[in-house]
Amino acid sequence: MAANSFKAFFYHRFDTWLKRRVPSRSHHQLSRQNIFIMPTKFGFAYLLFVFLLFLLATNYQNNIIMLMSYLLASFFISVMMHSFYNFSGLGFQSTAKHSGFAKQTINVPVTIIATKQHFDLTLSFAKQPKQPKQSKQSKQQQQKIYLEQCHAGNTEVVLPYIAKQRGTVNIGRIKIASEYSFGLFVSWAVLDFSHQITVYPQPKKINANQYRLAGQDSQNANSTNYANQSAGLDDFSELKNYVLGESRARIAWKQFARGQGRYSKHYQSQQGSLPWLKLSEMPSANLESQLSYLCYLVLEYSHSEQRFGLDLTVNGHSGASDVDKKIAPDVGFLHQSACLTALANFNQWVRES
Amino acid sequence: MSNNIPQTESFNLPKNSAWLLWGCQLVNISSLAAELSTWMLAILALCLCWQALLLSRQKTSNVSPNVGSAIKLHTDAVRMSPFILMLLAISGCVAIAVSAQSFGVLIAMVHLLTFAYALKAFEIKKRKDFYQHSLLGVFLLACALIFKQDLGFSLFILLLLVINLTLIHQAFAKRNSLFNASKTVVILLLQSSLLAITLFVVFPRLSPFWQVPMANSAKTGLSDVVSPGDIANLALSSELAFRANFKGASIPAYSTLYWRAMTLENYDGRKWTRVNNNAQGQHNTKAKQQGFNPTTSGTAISYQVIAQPSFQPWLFALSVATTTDPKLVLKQDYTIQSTTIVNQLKHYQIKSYPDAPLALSLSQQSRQRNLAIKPGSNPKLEQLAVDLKAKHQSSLALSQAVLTTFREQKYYYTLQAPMLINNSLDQFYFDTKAGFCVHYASSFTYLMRAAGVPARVVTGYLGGEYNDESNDASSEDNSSQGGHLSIYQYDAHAWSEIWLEGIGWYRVDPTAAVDPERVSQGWSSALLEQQSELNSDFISLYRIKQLAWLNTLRLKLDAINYQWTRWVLGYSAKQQYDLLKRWFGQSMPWKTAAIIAMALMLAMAFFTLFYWLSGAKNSKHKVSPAQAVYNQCLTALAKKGFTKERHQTTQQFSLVINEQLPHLSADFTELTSVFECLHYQQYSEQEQLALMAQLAKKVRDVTKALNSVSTMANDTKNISSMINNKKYKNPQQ
Amino acid sequence: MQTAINNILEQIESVVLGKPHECRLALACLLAQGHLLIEDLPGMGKTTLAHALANTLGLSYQRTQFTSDLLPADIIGISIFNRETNSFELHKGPIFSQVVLADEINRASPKTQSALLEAMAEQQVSIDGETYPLPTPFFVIATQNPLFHAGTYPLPESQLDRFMMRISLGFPDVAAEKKILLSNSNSQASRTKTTPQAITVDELASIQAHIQQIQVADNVIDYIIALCQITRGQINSANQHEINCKPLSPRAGKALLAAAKAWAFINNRDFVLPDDVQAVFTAVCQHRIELTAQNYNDSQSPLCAQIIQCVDVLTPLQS
Repeated sequence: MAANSFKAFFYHRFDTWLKRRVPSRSHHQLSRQNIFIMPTKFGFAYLLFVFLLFLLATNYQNNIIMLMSYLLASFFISVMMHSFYNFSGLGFQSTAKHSGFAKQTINVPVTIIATKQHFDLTLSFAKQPKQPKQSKQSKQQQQKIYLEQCHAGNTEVVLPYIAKQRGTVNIGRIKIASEYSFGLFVSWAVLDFSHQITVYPQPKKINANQYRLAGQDSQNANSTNYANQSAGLDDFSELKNYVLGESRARIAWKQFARGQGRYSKHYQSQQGSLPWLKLSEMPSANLESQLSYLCYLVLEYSHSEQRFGLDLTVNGHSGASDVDKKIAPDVGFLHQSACLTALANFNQWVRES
Repeated sequence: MSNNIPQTESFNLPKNSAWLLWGCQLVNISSLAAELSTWMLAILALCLCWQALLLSRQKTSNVSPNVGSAIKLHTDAVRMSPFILMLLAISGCVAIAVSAQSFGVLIAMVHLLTFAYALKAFEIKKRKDFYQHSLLGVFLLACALIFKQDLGFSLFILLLLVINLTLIHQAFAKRNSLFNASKTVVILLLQSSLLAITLFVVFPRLSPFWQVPMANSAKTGLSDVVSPGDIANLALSSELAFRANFKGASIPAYSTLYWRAMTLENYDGRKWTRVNNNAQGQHNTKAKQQGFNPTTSGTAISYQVIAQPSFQPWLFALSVATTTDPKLVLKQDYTIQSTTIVNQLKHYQIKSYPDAPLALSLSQQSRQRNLAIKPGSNPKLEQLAVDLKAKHQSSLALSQAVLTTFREQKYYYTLQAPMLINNSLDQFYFDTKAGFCVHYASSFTYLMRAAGVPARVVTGYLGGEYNDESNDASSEDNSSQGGHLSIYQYDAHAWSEIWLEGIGWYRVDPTAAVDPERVSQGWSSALLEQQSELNSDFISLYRIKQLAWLNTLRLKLDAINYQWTRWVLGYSAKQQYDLLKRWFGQSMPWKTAAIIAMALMLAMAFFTLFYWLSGAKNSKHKVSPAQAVYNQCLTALAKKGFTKERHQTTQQFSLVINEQLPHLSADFTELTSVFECLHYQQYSEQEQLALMAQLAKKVRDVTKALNSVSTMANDTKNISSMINNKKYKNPQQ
Repeated sequence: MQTAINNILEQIESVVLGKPHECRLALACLLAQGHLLIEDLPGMGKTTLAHALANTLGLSYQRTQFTSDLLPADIIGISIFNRETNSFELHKGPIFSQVVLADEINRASPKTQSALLEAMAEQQVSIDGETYPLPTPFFVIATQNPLFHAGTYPLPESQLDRFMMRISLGFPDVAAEKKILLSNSNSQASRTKTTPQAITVDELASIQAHIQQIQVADNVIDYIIALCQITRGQINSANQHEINCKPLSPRAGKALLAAAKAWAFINNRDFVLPDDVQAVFTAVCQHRIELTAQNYNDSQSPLCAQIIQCVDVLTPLQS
C-alpha cells in the first residue's frame, strides 16, 4: 500500500516535471530539451568489459592493451554523442484529435519529418492500455512500430490503438526510442501531442422491426415542422389547371399538344417526417447496447443521406452530464461526427488511458 | 518505408551481416593463431567451415516482410542440435585440460577462450547472445596483444577492432552498406582517440593487482650452455635482440661495444656452462658494495636498454654496469640479470664505467675454477700452453702471442666451420683452423687456463646497428647522435676474459685477431653472403643491405618501431610521473583529475562542434539581407520596449510606432516603405542595391533618433519633474 | 485605372450606405473573378449592393428569387415548343446574364442549387444535349439568411468552397441609417437610375487581367501557405492546437491569393502585402473553415483572428 502510494507520488512528480519540460504541441522537434539518453544493459556490460580490459592491462603491465581499453572507453562516450545526434533533429507531427469505434484498431498517424537519415526508430504509446494478464505471446505483440531507416523528407507511420470502451480518452504521450549505434545507449523521447481519441460505441446491428422511429406516426404535430406531403420536386402528384403566371416550365405540353387543355404539372416530394433517434426507444436494458444500436442507426442514416436527429434524454429529463442531449436534425458528415461524439461521451468523463 | 512488423525476441541478421560475423571470427582467431596449438587450430577451422557451409545453404526465408528486398533474413541458419554442441564443448574442454600442463595456464586459457568463441557462434539466438559473442571477440583481440606488441601488429589489431565494431553496428542499421558502417566506426574511433590519448598520458598507472599467468614461450637468444658452433647457429637469425639508446650522447666506438650477458666458467671438455650456485649469485647489496669506483677512474655512460622477450633472465650491459632499477640483479661476475624471466619487453637504465676494472681481487675458489681444465681432453693445446708459459713471462705477453698466432697464421672466421669430433679444440686449433667466435674464444680460454692464467668465456653481443632515422630534430651539434642502436641475434658473440694481476678481468677477443673487421665494423660482406645462403629468411639481410632504398626503408621502419616501443609500450608509471611533474609540477591527484575532466569536456565540445557543423549544412534558415537589416531595427526598437508582434504586418507596426514615437514617424514610415519595396517587389540588381543602401541609412537614422529620443525623454522627464517641484515649492499666488 | 476604381467605389458606396469595407470586399471579389455569397437577414441591402455592382460595372443583371419549388430548368432555361415554327426554341434562363443575383439560395432544393453551382464551376450549361457557354464576365452573387430558418437547405460544404468570399452587410450605423430612411429610393426604378456605368466591359476585362499579373513576393505566398497549414494542423505553433476548424484546401489558397491581389489593386498598389492577405482572410476563409455555421454577424471572427495570430509575418514558414 505504501509502496504503491510512493510509486504513484513519484510518477506524479515525474509527470509534472515532464509536462513542464516537454509541453504539448502538435509538432515536436527533438532536441536537447526533450531527449533522454541512458546506457542499455549492453552499455553497462560494455563498461564492465572495458574495466576488465583495464584490469588485464594493469596486471600484465601491458601499455597497448591499456591504450585499447582507454580507446574503447572514450568510444563509449563518442557513441553516446553519436546516438544523440542520430536522434536529435527529428521532427514529429500529429494531429490531436482522432476517432474510431470501440474494439477496433484506431490508427493514429504520425508524420516524421527528417532532414537527414536516421536509423532504428521505435514508436509506441507511452502508456499501454491496461490489459488483463495475457499469455506471453500476445504480450509480445505490443503496439510498436519499428522503423529501420528513415530517409530525409516526410514519412508517415501509423500507430494502432485498440480501444476497449467508448468514451473520450487521452492516450497520453508517444514514446519514440532508438537504440542505434551499437546498442550501447537507448535514446528516447516522450512527446505529448495531446492525443485525444473519441471512441464511438461499437455499432450493433438492429433490425428495422425492432424499433419504431419516433415521429413516424406523428401524433405530435408541434414537434414536426414539415407537412408530410410538401410541394417538392420528386414525384409527380397531379395536373392542375394552368393559372396565368405559373412557370412555363410546368406546362404539361403533351396534354396541350393533344388538345386536352392547358394544365400545369405539380410535383411533390415525399418528405418523411423527421426521424428522431431516441435513446429511450432502443430495445435493450443495457445502456451500452442501446448506445451501440444507436451508433449503428446513425451510421445507416448518414450513409443513406437521410436527415435525422439524435435524442439522448433519459425518461424525459437530462442527466447531470454537460454533453448535449439533443442534436438537431441535419445531414452531412459533420452531423454524423457530432452524433457519434455525443454517443461516445454520453455519461462519461474524459478518461486517461 | 516503415516496417510495421513488431520486434520479436529472436535475433536475426541479414545475410551480409551473417557473413561479416563469420569473417570476424576468422580474423579474430587468426590474430591469436601463433599461440594456438595445431590441433586446436584444426578444430577451429572445422567449426568455421561448418558455419560457412550452413550459411551458404541458407535459402530465402519465407518470413521476409519486405517484398522485393534484397536482404534475406537469417533465421536459424546456423544452428546445431544442442546435443552435438554440448558433446563438442565437453570434448574440447577435456582436451584443453589435458594439455594445459604442457601449455602453461595462460595458453590454456587462450585455447579455452577461442574455443568458446567459435562454439558460441552456433548458439546465437537472442540479441544478448550476439553481444556476448562480440565482446568475446574483442577480448580475444586484447589477448593477442599480450603476446605481440610491435607497431605493425598493433595496427593490425586496430583494423580488426574496426571490423568487430562494424559488425555490432550492422546489427542496428541493417540496411546500411558495409562501407558506410565502417566509415562511421572509423570516424567514431578517430573522435575517441583524442580522449584516449589524454587518458593514456594522464591516467595514473597502477601496479598489478594480482599475479597473472605469464606467457611461457620457447627461449630465444643466448643459452647458458655453449659449445663450439652454437653461436654460429644463433647468428643465422636476424631477429632483434635488444635496443640501446644513449640519449644523445656520443655512442662508444663499435669495437668497444661488448655487451656482456653471462660468463661461462665451467668447462667439462665439451661445453662451457655458467656457475649457478648461491655462493656465486650474491645479493644485490653485497654486489653493489664491491669495488665500483666510477668517478675517479673513468667517465660514465648512461644508456637505456630495451630487451626483447627472450624468456630467459639474462640482460645486457657494457662493463662495468651499475643500475638503480630494483628489478635487476647485479651479479658478482659483473653481469646483470632480471629478477623475473623476460617474457615481455623490458626497459632498464644502465650507467656504465667502461674504464673501471673488474674484480681487482680474485678469490681462491674463483681462481681454481677459472683454471680448471679437463686434463687430457686437448693434449696438444696443453703442450702448447706449457711451451708458451716457458717462453713468455707475463700473462699478457702470453695472450698476445696466441693472438699473433691467430692473426698471422691461416685461420678463418666462418659460419660453416667443419664439425669437430668430440668438440675437440685440438682439432680446431691445429687442424681445421676454421671456426666462429666460440671456437676461437673456447680454444683461447683453454689455452690460457692450461698456461696458468685464469680465464673464462664470456657470451653476449658485440656491436649494434646504428639507426639515425629516429634522430630528434632537437639535437644541436653534429657530434651528438640521437639515434639508437639495434642489436640483432647475429651480433651474438663469445669472447674471453683473462685475469691479470693488478688489472682484474681483462677482455681479450680472439676474433679481433682473426677477423678484425668483425670487431671494428661488423660483419664482412663475405660473412653476410654466407649467412644469406644459410638462413631461411625470405629476404636476407645481405640482399636488403645491398639495395640502398630498401635498407633505408628498413631502417625507417625500425626507427618507428623503436619510437613506438620506447614511448608507448615503455610508458611506465615512473615515466608518467616524470612527464607530469615536468609539465604540471606537484600535487598530482587533483591535477590528474582536472586534466581528465578537461579532456572529457574538450572531447564532448569537439563532438558537438563536429555535429553542429555537419548539421549546419542542412540549415535552411536563410534570411534575406533586407530582412536582416529590418530585424536589426526591430531589435533596437524592442530594446526600448516597442516589440512588433509576429502577426503584425510592417504597415500595422509602422502605424503603432507613428502613434507612440512621433519623432520617428517620418523616418520609420519611409523605412517601412523601402523595406516593403525590397521584400515584396522585384527589382533589378542596381535598384536593389540602391534601396538596400537607403534602407541601411534609414535604419541608422531611426536608431540614432531612438537613442536621442530616450535621452530627450529623460531630459523632458527631468525638466517636468523639476517644474513640478518648483510648482510645489512656489505655490501660485 | 485607379480613378475608375475610385469612381466605382464612390458610386457603390453612395447606394449602399455606411458599409465601405463590405463594398470594397464585394468589388475585390468581382475583380478577382470570384463569386460572392452574402449572408444577411432580409432587408439589409443585399439586392441593392448586387444591383449597384452590376450597374456600375455595366454588366447585364438578372435577379432570381429562389423558392423551394424552383426547378433547375427555371434557372438554366428550357426549350419550348413553338407551334408556329414547329420547333423547339431555347428560352435561356436567368443564368445567362453577366451578374446573377441568386436570392435566398438556401431556400431552393439541393437539385436546383447544384444546377446553379455546376454552372458556376463549368462556365457553361447543357440543355437538351447542347452546351451553351455562359457570358463573360460571369458573376454569381448569392444571398442567404444566416439563421437556420424553417424551410432552408443549407449549402453543402463542398459547394460553399465555390464562393470566393462570404460577406455580411449587417446593420448600418446611425448616420447611414438616417440617410437610408430619409432617401426616396424605395422603388426599383429609382435605384437603377442613380448608378451610372463607370467602366466598360473591356476596361473591366483589362483590369481583371492586370490584377492577375500583379507581382506577389515569395514571402506572401509563404504567408498564405502558412495560414493554410495552420488550419490543417501542419505547422508548429505554440497555441495552434487550440484552433479547431476545417482544413483549407489549395483552392482556398488560390482564392485567398486572388482576393489579396484584387485588394492590393483597389488600394492602388501593384504588389501584394501581407496586409492585403489579412484584410481579405476572414471574408475568403471563414465560411470554409468554420465547423458549425456561426451566426455570422461579426466582421472579424475570432477564429480567423486566432489563425492570423499564429503566423509570423516576416518568417511565415518557420516558427
